[in-house]
Amino acid sequence: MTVYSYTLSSLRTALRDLLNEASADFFTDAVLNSYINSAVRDIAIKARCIQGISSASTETHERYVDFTGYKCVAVEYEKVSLIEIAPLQAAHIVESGKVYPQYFFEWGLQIGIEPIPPGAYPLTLYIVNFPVAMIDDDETPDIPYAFCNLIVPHALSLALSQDNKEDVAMAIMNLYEGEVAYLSRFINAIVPDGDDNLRME
Amino acid sequence: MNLSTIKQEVRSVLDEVSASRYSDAEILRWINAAERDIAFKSGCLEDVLSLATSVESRLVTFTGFKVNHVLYTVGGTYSFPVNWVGTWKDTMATIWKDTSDTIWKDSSQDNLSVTNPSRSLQRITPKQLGRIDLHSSIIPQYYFQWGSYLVIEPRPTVSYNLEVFVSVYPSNQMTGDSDVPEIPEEFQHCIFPYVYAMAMLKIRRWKSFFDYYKNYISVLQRGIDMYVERQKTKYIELKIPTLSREVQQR
Repeated sequence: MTVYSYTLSSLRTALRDLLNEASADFFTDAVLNSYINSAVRDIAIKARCIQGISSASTETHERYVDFTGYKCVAVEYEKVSLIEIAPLQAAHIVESGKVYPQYFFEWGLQIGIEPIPPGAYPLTLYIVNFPVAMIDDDETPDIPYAFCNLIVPHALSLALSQDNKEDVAMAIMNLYEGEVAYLSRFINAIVPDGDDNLRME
Repeated sequence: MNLSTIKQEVRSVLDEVSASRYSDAEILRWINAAERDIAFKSGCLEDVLSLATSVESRLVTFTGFKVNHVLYTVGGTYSFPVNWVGTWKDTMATIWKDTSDTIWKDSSQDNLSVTNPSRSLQRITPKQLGRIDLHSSIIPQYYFQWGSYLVIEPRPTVSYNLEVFVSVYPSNQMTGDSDVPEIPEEFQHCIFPYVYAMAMLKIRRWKSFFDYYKNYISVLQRGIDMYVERQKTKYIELKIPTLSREVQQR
């Protein structure tokens, strides 16, 4: 017995089971592959489930630091998380005499550091990444294993739309949206524990 | 309940004793998919991992998909005197007394070796790193899950032992007739409506698919409420309830 592997091939097989088409006929492999990759992207965007940690560094007299991914959720410098601000607050909140990174804002694929660093400061970025499309049959999705079951309903909805079954396709898509939201809250939502949680009520 | 039993019941309900409309391979795939789906949505497959932090690193890798609780295991033991009517003395030569009749001693026969208690860590958000009162202590006190990492606050300077309560997914697909699902027995009945839903979807009986799937979600949620969502006992539940006015009047 082995753990089930969500490869491009096995996902296509799961889809073909439900489309009642054992081998490529109305639905080509290429089309199903595109639906599967679309599903993976959709899950990654809506669940923000590809969470990564990367190292970066400021440059002297440069405010902006590049990152790759959908979103930079938090930035850490010297064991302390920087406070997220809006660009509007730049230069209005920093205490005089403190030149090290204290605040950040996100804009496009960059984070802006406040105050503007006078040197190179090492940062740790908590990022939500985007997936890379699968091409080969033995490749697996970049989204976490626990989210991979959601690929099939999303891809199935797209396939049924192609087959002019729009009502059912939309109903399955709505079902999928609910499940993404649920699983995202169940697995990823970080709700901090309060001091009251530690006591007996 | 093993795979053979599950397949027999599925075929009975689908009114197909042997493979015709539905192949054995398809039904097997749906059964395994159901088990995975139940594990992902309920977190019912639970495990406790013994892990350790690394020096000067916040990150601890874990297996599974969800961290539910973390305990810092202090380790070691302390000496607990159990014979409270016993006697204490600090050396063979010196005897401490509280009254002229009572002599105290900490002899080894009277002490119990007790494990230092483990301490639970509180969950925080990434934005709280370095901004929480650590009570002048450097031991692990807070954590959050980020991807496949457990992130510890404060950043450990030495290796600390942790007990991590995780939810995992099935490590093996069922293939042989004697294989049993890894999910707990109280969730195994949820496999059936999921499989029936997939079977209806294949033959394009859309209403039946949605009905079966709705039933699947409903029974799964009931299982989560009864067996996964564990309610702490409150003090008020330990008291005898006051009588209602109707009972008093009787």
